[in-house]
Amino acid sequence: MRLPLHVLALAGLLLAAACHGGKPKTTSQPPPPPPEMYPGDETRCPVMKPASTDCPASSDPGHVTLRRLNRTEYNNSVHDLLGDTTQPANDFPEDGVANGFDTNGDLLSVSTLYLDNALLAAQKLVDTAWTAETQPAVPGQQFSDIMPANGGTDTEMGIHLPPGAELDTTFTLPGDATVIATLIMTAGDGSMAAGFDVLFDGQSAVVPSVQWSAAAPTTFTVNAPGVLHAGKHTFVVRAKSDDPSRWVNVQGGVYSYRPVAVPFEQAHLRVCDIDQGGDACIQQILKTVGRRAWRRPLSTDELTALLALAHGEPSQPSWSEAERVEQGVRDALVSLFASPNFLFRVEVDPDATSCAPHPLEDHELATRLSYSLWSTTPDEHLLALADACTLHEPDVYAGEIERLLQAPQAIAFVRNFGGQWLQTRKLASVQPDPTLFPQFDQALREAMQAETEQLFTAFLNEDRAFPDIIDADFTFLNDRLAQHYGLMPPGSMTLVRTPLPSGTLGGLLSRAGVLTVNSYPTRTSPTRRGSWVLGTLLCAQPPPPPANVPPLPDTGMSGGKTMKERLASHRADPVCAACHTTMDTIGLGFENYDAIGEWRTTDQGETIDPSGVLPDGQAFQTPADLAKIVKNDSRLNACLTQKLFTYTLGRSPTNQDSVAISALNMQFQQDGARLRALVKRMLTSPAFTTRRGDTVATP
Amino acid sequence: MPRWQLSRRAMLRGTGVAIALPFLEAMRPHRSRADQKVFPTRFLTFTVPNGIYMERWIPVDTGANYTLSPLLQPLKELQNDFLLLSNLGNPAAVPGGPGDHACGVAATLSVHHPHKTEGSDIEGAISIDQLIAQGWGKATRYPSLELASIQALDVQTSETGWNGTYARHIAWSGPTQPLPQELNARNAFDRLFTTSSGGGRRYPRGSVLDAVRDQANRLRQRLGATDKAKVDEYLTSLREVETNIGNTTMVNPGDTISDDRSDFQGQVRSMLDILTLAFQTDSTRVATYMIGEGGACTIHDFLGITDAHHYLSHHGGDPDKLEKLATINTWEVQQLAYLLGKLKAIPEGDGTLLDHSVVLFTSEVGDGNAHSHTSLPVLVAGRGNGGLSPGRHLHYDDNPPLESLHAAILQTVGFPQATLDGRSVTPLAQLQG
Repeated sequence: MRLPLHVLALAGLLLAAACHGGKPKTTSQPPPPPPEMYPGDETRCPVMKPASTDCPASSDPGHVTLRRLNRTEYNNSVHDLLGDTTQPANDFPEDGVANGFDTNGDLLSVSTLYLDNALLAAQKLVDTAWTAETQPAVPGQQFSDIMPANGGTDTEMGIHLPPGAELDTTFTLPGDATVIATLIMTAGDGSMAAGFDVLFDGQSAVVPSVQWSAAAPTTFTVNAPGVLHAGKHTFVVRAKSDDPSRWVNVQGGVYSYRPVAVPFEQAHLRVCDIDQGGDACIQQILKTVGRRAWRRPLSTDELTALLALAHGEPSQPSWSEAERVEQGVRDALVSLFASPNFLFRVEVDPDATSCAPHPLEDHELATRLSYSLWSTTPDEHLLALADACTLHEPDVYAGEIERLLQAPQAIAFVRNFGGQWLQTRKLASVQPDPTLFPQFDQALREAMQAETEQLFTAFLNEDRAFPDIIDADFTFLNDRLAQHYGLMPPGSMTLVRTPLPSGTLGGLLSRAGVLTVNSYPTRTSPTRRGSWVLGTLLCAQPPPPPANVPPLPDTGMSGGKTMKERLASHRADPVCAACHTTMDTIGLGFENYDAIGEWRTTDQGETIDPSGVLPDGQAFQTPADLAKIVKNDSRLNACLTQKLFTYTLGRSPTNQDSVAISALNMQFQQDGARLRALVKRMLTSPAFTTRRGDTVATP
Repeated sequence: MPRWQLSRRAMLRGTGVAIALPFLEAMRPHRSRADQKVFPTRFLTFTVPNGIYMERWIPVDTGANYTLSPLLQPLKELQNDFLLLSNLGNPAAVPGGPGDHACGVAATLSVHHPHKTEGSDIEGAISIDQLIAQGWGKATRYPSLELASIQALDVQTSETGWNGTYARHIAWSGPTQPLPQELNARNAFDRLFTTSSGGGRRYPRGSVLDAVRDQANRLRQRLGATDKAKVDEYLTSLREVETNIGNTTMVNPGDTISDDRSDFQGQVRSMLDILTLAFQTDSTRVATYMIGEGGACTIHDFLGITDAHHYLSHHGGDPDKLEKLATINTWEVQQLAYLLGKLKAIPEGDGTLLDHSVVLFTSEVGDGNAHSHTSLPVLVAGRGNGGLSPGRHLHYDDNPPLESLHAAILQTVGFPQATLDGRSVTPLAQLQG
């Protein structure tokens, strides 16, 4: 049975009502808050004011300059917050690097070029994510299987439903969707009450209270509860049976649906249905996304301002109400990601000019922790603990550090701390000469990168003394890399942990990745390799060059058959010798590894003699001997501590920090030199968990 | 604020793909009447890394009609359009130990000896291009344009005690403000221009920018001085960006802009096209362009060279390395010739765009092998609106510092009162013959 034709004609008139929700009320902007009121204050956890205004040097956490997200952090954050996979920050201007790391607030500046890119990215990211999560509404669909029941009858005026009678229909959805039914009805007695129920799949929907008009048909818009799944559904209109004098007449009905591209609970932006939810939904979207993007709940003022933006004037006069609302919400969302509250990792002090230390607020702590270990925005678990103001509690905090370290995202720490410290992040851009090293291809490059990362990860996760990383007796290989090292292939494309045969040196100093980044495209560079060991691994400062030394003409390294003989010229001049004696001696100790880390015993026909004597008298015969010397150098652990301090705090260490760094290093030794323990010590140290104001005078 | 106009027909001409660009004759400055042709003097710095093979750079004789050296051969057709200045040094660039490339780049246009640090306490000084940009003020859409083509992306390494920032940045707007460069030709183009085939970029709407400004202002109130300065950077940049939104110039690039960031050669070419268009449309009057950062390890595989440039520059007299170095240098000079040729092909009034420009070509060191800062490769092209008399090789026996050239450039472009590194400097003589 079908509804009479005139009902179908009515359906066209209903389209507008079906796909557009009610007009949201315009919210007028409140007066700006008084200047001493900081946005978000009401949602911040209480921060203990410093007990005294003293600034003891021993507990000075130093001032960490407001940090902009670096390119890696930005990419990771928008991946987590918006599902982005395009890594827009790759086109942002390069981040400044201080002391080897790109986490230093002082050098993470906001140039015009940067902001230009960040604004474009915010718009594009929100557009993309919104579109991916929003399907256009499909309006004006006809119900099927229309059947009056329990006494209902089909008449010229529509389906007539006396009390207790019902109209049974069905409809079919191609996918999950939110559904709105629109009905045109008249009531028999001009009653003010709805007088009927609507059921989707037997479940009652809320029927809005609309004044019946006796004179004309009345339009009802009814939302199906929640999201309906793909497939066939029943739709029933039933006249209430409590009052026998009332009947209703259903003159026409259509439904519209909006496919749900992403379930609301998984959505990045569209966490509810604006068509159905109206203002409440808009508010929920801004609250939810705002809290994630700004890493703290929004204050009422902030939310009010965002709502005002969302309800702003349309930029296209031709826009319908729904288009205007949607545009407004998107604008407000764009502002969240273009905001300094997103681009900067905001930390505030109770007194911005006091040097007395105070604990970080819980959301600030969550943010520091998350960016330190995951290089990304805090996840829901961390945010929830911060919202509850319990993150700072020692047990909770320690549990979170452990959780973050165990999660797969901790690879970010390995890549961005380990990779920048050890400079293996550079592997992505090295270009060994393809004629000399035709075997160097993308697969080998990636295997090299993965090997150093997995080795570092093993020392982060396992109960091992960190210095053993220098000559570890195991490594991670796939067939390609095993072949490169001349080892037995493990029969795997992915890297697997492999014990090394005795007599084969493992560990960082002999890894192809490390050796390659410290080589030239065509040959090894013993000087670079030596400099890497001294400067990077041991943080040994080269002796200051004598004053006013004019640059020496480089006489080149001709005149010797072997690299050793050629490099001797570096040491002939006492000025050069000051640095080069140690650097070159160490670097020459690894000459058995060529420019891409393959083992060799000769170089251009000459036998390689890796042996040497360091200026302090320590002699070595083989690379393994030399590795042992490096491994036992006490500067190794101290250097790691200093690097970790610099990376996690995002500032250059000062002389004053030497106390804190020494203390950490002392604990590190006591913990058996375990990297994981050091990371935990660092993240629980006062330098990390407290902050202070800025002693620079406000201009 | 003067704008340059294109005729509507000219704009329509360029539908579809890239074709030649004669239409820009149709442009003329708003404020200049037909009988009063005043063209601003543009200033461009074009630098190459790792010095130049000086033995093949310096001509054997001086004066007008001198014999071009081997490395200057690509400029043969342009010999009367540039001055070759030899025996200029840059004492401020001497690092006192290792660090010649970093120190050299940072001191090239600032003639200021930067503070040696690997930490965040960098300190340079405002560079001459920025002094000029400040002089022009808001005369153009962009006060200055910073472009670079860097091959080894994402790797900013310090150079034995010197923060990597120094080697990467030649333009400084203040002691702690190195100006980052656009490294992607496509983005550089889209930021400045739109084409008839559309394009353009979608910025957040005005109400969104108002909202974030409000957010920044609220945040600012709560911060100490150092952090406030960061938010101020944000606010200042926001103002700058806003000024330029929707204010792109419609052009027909005439050449295809490289979309492939890994195509080094294509990127370089596109950057030069963009620089030309930027001057031609008066989008800016000041620009810097670096082919590679100081000490660049660029691999010119498209020239058949698989060694890193920096490695080759330390040739130690090795004939093989020297030949490769000469090949690289020749290619670099060809790029300069391409740029100058483009500028010269654009008529402006009775002259050409090149006539109304000062193009400084140099490097952070002289002889890359010795890391010398005493004899730099210096070439100044263009007529500087009559301030320069090109076509000559001038050798300065007294080894004058680079800052004297900068002082002369400041005079030429019309800002003689600007001071470099706080010093008063006697301008280099003889540039106007």
